[in-house]
Amino acid sequence: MSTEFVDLLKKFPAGRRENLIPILQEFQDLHGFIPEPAVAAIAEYLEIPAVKIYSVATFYNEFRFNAGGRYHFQVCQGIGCQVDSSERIRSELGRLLEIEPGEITGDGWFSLEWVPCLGVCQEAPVLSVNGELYAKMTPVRLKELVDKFRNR
Amino acid sequence: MMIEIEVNGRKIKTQKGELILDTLKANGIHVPTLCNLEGFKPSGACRICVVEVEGRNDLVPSCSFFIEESMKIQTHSARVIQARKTILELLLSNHDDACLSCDRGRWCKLHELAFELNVTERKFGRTAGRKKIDNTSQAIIRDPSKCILCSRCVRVCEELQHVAALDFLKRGSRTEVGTVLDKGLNYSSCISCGQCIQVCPTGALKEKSHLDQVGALLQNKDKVPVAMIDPAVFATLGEFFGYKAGPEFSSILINALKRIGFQKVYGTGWGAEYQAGRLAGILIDKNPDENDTPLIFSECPSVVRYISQSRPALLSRLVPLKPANQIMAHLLRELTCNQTGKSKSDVSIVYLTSCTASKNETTAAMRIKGSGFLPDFSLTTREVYRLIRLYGIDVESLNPEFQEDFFGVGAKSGQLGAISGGNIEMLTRIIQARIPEANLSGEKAGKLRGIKDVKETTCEFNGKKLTLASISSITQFENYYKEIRSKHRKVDLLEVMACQHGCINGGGQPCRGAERNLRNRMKGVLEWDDRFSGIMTKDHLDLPSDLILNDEDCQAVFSPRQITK
Amino acid sequence: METPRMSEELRDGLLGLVTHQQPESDQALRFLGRTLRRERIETLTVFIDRTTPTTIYSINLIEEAVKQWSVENQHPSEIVETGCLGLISVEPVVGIQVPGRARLYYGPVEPTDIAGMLNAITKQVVPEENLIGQMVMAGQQPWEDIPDWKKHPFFINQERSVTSLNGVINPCHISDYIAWGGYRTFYNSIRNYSGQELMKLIEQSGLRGRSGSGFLASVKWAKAAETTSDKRYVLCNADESDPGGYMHRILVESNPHLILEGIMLAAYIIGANHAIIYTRSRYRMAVKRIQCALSQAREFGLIGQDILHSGFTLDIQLKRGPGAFVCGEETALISSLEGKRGSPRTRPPYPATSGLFGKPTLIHNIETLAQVPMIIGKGPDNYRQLGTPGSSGTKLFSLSGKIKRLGVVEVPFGTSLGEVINSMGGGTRNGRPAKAVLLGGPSGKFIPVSKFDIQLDLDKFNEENLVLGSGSIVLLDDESCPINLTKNMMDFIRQESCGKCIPCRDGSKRIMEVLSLISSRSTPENKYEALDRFKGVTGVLELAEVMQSTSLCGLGKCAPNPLISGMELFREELEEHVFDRTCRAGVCLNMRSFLVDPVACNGCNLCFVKCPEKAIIGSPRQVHYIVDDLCTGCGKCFDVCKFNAILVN
Repeated sequence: MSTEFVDLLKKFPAGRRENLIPILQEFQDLHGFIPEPAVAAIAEYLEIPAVKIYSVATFYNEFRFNAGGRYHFQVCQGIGCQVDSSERIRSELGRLLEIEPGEITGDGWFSLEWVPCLGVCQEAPVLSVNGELYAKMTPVRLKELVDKFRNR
Repeated sequence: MMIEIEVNGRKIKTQKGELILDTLKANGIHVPTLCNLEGFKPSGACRICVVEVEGRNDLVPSCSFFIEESMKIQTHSARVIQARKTILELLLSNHDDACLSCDRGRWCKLHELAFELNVTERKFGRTAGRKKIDNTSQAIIRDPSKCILCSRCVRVCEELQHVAALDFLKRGSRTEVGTVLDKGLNYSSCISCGQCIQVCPTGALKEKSHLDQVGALLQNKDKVPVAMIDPAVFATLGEFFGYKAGPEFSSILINALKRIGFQKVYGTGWGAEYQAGRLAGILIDKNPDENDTPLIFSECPSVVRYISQSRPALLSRLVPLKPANQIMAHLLRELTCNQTGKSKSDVSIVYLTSCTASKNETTAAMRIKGSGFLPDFSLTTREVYRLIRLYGIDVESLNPEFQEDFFGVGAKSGQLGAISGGNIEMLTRIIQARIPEANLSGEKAGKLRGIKDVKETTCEFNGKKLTLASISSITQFENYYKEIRSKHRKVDLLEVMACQHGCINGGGQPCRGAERNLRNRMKGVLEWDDRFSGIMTKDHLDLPSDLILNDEDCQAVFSPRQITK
Repeated sequence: METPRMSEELRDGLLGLVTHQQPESDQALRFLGRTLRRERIETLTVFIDRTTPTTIYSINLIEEAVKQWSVENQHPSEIVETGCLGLISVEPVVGIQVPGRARLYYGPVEPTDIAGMLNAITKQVVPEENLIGQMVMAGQQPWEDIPDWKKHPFFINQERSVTSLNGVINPCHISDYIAWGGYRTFYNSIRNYSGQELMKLIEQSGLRGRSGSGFLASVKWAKAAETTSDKRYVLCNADESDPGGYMHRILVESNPHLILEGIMLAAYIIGANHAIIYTRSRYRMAVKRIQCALSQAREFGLIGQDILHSGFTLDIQLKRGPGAFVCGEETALISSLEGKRGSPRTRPPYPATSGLFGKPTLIHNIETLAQVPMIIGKGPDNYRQLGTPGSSGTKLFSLSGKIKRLGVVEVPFGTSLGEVINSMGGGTRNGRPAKAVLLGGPSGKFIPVSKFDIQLDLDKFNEENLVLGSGSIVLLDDESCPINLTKNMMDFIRQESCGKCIPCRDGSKRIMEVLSLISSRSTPENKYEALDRFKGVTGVLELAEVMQSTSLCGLGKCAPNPLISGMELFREELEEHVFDRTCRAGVCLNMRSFLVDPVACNGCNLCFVKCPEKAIIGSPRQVHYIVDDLCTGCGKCFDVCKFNAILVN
């Protein structure tokens, strides 16, 4: 087990399953994803089967096992945005990037995710790229945005 | 507390706090179930078993809902039937349609339910594409497109076998059963015990078939096919043909296999007894004070795999003896070469067994040339049945025929190896024979028999007292091991079998009716044993001089398999 | 957001405010209270709303502008972070207060406006542009002719009790909360009353859970307190994940200490020594605010061993939820806290008898727990005065969709829906006719305009077979398509279902597929599609019924609600979708057809270039034409046309 894993795991008491999610969150915060070897390390530390860890991690939205794209698009799925036709944004984004939610483009530049309400319903529809919010999106503005990132 | 409830308008007396399903079952009311697994905590996932309870808006799952006072239950109201049917239709809409080519055939629970609930058309269009088949394992193949997510395999794998190779992944409509990091069974903690196949209601799990290869072998005139039958197969195969388990059907089976084209047909009992004899030697020489941890004896490849994967510290406690089937494979190959004058690679040993894990230990799986200790192919009981059907053998018309004489003597107690505790019983007989003054309690039909997970006995000789125990299922092993460690109990020898109650409940056995037939299978094995009661004498264990097994051959044999993590 | 260390002096003062029998009678304490409440200030103070809804705006620029103005005019100023008043359609909201005068709230405020506003107000002139109103506190001179902020139509009929301090106090300082009388109830309770005595008050108050089911709280509490166990837990469900609601997040971001006090009281009453707040990891602001509040409370001695020498010990932890809608269900939440998949389990046993780690566990959402200090502080009789006999107290609602004034409102139970929509929300955004309201998010039901006079009351809603849910109100106008919204809700359930039971997992998927077929254009090469579509439509209600009656948990049981109520209410629109293949609201993607207005089209050729299906023919400077058979209705031409020459049919 790499020392980095050990250091992280040591913050939590061993063999206590209730710490699984906090541990996964630490890994996620640290790397932006959960490194595959970490699964075995956590399994050993918490004394639970490795598949349980994978099972829990895939259940929740927060965890992923691959690094996101350079530009991580999160499209708000809140009702406020839906009423303001975020569906068009979602389908347009899918077409522009040619990926499904949860996937990453072949060149590793873009990844796409649908997220629950981002909390800025007054500016619907909104999306966030690497944590920065973009408000009142339209398909045209979206295209400009994607092009801007592509040409960077 | 006895209370009275009303089911379908009839009064029924029952216990308060009992599960509705149990009450209904006890009163002869059949409610279809899918995810329910006897002896396990109900999961309440499939909702097929819903019933209507008066005063409730929703339908309640009878598998996980308790009887309350003055309950009024409708088990087959129009609403209930409609709900069940819709649920099944939903399942079918996600299920692969390949029923005609499905391995599960007429033993498919889903198929049966569809018939029972009168599902005659596909209500919802099938949109799910075929999913990738996991054939990384040499023993078990998993086809997720046929999986209906009933969680039975997941629960058995975790709760019964302590392995947890499978679990639910993702959520929502993307939920699936899978292995860690989606890497396939071979890279998981799977021990190939096949218990998941046993409980799977559909054909999502099956063994890796060697039927085609065996078929080709039987047609090849240059090869000498030799069949080697595990006692568990003798005890079970008759179920397919309506025969009682026991010696009677065994002889018919031998005849059938000969007709199919096997030149020689042997049982593996001799090997089991031979190894028990060697084990007795080890035990007699054992210094009782030597170590507090028990020696672990296992003929079971799943157990060995489990220990080398999950409990490597115990590897050194494994008795260094080759499993009987490997000894047999080796000897049979040598013997057949001598008898027929063919080269070793032309003799093919086909192991008929109830074990799915033994598929891992064949030359076919390891992709090596057949010459060493490994059988070449392994067929499960289910496959043997299909082989017999394939060759159009009419079993009923066959005369009994006996297995080949093996060096002038048939196995005596060797059949016992198919049930948990059997090896220990064999062992005690051998010790008793060698050391007449040994005090062996619990011999025969005693503590080592019956449907129990833990069987213990003691024997005293030469001033030492040995505790011998037999465990089946990995969870029981883990619990028992923990218990003896925490209580500092001295157990000298521990026989472990991965499948509950031994090989008669192996992963390659018929998928349905195991609960019902388990006792019969056990009885069949014991009946056989009664008929040939006794053990081989030391002379019988002497091999012809050209077939001598040296110690190196028999020992250091648990070459722990290469396991990729 | 970091917690400033508290000076000994302040600490003692605050302790006095919490523990003194009548702090108003002590001059020093009264003075401290007034200062901390900012009734009395020394310098110009600017209050800036810093909550999730304002994250999108350049709040930092506003702050910069204030500082810059301060330097340029050599006028000292103080900037105070606040929570959200609730009116989020005018964010960012900024409050400006000069010594001696009442506080003025403005919104929306641009960074460039700041200098002008400050110039005017420091000269005692009130700019009226974007003004929300003034907030007059004791000892302050009100501004003449300026309406009170509570006279604003959004606030006028609200009954702000749990939200009373939202947007007023600094949520990052325990001193603000204490200055407004916070934690006094808790202190008084643990010093002078037993858990049983307080339990009586909860029982008398008739407090009901605010999470949708409206379960009587005292039943749960009594169960949890009665069950013998060595450990008990209080869980605060702050994992609001209803896609239409945000009131809990606003509440916790604006006044986290109120939640803590509610949790503390609940823990004391049922005799729990452990409490856990479970909030969504992605709600960064809420997480920070709770963490900050917890560390302050711990530092102040309100959490820990022997709290304020009362002998009561309580530990509160924050757990970040890794994101799953189903974890709003109590048993799923418990699974998640135990480190498992957030799958619900069958009840009974209820968590109150066997919850987290098998111990008695009291689970409530933020809003319910936030009521507790008020009930105990003011007494149940006082509490019951608000609301209806069956549902006492107030309820938070979040307004979204095509509504004019978005935000969070707090109204007593019994207020009519129409009042909330029309007077507080101001009706539809563009004055278009309203169509309906979706109340309760993905598990809620549509309520047509004709029923807008219904009282928002748990019993009334049960009678009418409607769902109050968590209280998210989404207004639809004639440009919104209920079919499409229902489809999206079902898609949401499909993704968020835990995947355990078949009806919810596969039923949601099938319904979603049926609705997708209805709301998309048929492609000629797919012959069976029409048949599938009709088969789907005829079977969908039956399927929804089965889903309702057989699903394992509330998520699946309520998931078909929008569908069932929508199909009933919008039969006509549905039939148009099915038979005429049109969406009158023009929302359903791919169902729109487009045509070129030959007069407006100047042949710029842009739509021709952009059309992904090559369905537009035409050469430059010629009127273009859309080939209907090739058109997939993506709407790209409509979006790119600069001359409004593409008409939607």
